[in-house]
Amino acid sequence: MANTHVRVIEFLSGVLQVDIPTDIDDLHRREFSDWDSINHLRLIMELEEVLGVSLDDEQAADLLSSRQIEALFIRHGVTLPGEKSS
Amino acid sequence: MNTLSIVWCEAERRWPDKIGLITETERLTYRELAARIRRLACEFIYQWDVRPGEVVALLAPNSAEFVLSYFAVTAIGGIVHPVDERLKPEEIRFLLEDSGARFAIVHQALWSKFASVWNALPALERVLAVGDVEANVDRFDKWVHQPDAPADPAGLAMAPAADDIAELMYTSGTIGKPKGAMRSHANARAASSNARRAFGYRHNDVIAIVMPLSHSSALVSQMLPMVEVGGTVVLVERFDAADLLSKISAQSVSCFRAVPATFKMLMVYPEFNSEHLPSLRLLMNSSAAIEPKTHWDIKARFPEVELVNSYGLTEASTCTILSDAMAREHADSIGVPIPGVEMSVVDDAGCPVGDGMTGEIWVRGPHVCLGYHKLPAETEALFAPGGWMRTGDMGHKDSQGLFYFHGRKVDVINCGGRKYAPVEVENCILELKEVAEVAVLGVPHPVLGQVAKAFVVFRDHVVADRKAVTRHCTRYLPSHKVPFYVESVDALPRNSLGKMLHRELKTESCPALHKK
Repeated sequence: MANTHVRVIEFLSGVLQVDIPTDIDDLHRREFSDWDSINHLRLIMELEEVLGVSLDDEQAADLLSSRQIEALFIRHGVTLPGEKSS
Repeated sequence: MNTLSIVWCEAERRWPDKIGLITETERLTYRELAARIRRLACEFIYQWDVRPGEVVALLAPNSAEFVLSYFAVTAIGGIVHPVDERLKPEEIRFLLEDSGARFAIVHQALWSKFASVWNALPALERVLAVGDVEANVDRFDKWVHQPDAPADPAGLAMAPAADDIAELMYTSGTIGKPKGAMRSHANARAASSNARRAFGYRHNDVIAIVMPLSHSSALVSQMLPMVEVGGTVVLVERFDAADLLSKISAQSVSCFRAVPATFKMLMVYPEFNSEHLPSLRLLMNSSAAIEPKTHWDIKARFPEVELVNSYGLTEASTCTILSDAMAREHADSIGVPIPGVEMSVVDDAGCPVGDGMTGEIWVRGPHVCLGYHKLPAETEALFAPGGWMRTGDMGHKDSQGLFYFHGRKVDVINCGGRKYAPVEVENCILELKEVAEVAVLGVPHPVLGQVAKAFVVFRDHVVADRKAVTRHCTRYLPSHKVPFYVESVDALPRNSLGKMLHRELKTESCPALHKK
């Protein structure tokens, strides 16, 4: 799922409008000042749009890293543009 | 002397071994705090030659360095200018240029933002770096931990007067550019005393400061009064609900103040209750009204904890208090004036209106700021005869003396307690060449209270890319100003004189808002 990982990093870069190296293993919210609580809510909104689902408060609060978002993508079988579903 | 130096000097004298400050990495007694403040103050004089009345900008998150710098700058008669860490570089440049700061203390967490605009600040002569940064500047650690620093710097003998300006607190710029509210030592002390009276801070309290210290509420209604009573301040550098809960538990935090959005985020966690957090005795809501439902949901989890609401503004700090008992009967009120604060509701002519009548809220008292930095016309407009300050907020008072807030006289968006003018966002969006017109307004949000929504008229023959608008705003605006929603429309509703009809934007039936 390396491709999904790259796509999630690109997704985060797009929403937060900052350059994040795609070779980063995991990006945690606490290590990244632009990923503040307001941007987190906007990120959740964008995720809901991409995934076509509604995330409840507990799920939203638990999405604290790029790896967790990646797992969510995989769980929902979502492929972003340019990626083949496996 | 009614100055800020008295606060930390008294804390040192009365409770030298009490832990006064807890950060991620340190626990400092009042004796240690005072020693570091003296060393830092001494270096400001001997290394930088900071003169009374000169502005020292302070760019730091909640940290020991913020507190030390605040007290050290004001101890030598300097004016401390805290800068909100969440601002974008261009906003930081504007503030530093406007304040005319010759000196700046910059934390590593804000260094990249600061460095990107440093060259555009010719008035800025000296920089003191906190932490690990790659630059040829003075170092905070070296100054504070210098073993041969004079124990009793001569400069401290030149103590400021109570009426000297101590702080330059910038408003969030709800009606245009931010303005620097000048607060004297006496103003800050009065605001601190008001907070002590309102919230009943105690010597054995441990307060977790979640709001940025660059915010008036955190500075003079939380940190300062807590040092005055010799309590313990736990600084939270960055809000994270789970992290805050663990800090409350680990440090036996007894009180904290937050905006409604923070409380709502905490309510997601089942362990946010009295059983798991038995040390909590006081919760304080700030910066925006908390809905009655959220209030009672919190009370259900903390039946014995006092949950108070309040009302205030940068220019006058906290002005009212709504206790639990009052909230039971008047949950939609902002409460009663704190003893020492005078409040009135007046009509357009400045005459007090009767109970229940809507008007502008005016406040008066020693906590009210002196005016705006370098803005004589705005300062004159701020004050009414008799020393009253016009708040720009509309409201009414009932027959029992409780006040009610209706909204600002002009349109503002209040996102998670942070207020700003829609025009700021509109101006940012208009930088996009694809955009012909735009209108921004606040729409309800379940957690943040309000968020921005942009109605955009794209130029002919361009693809209406709503995401591009969001991306542009994210790049140039702080997070609370970025529109959560962008709608492409054919035209914006205007009256016959061409004036925008913002109210019609709020109704989906507006015929001008035909979606593309």
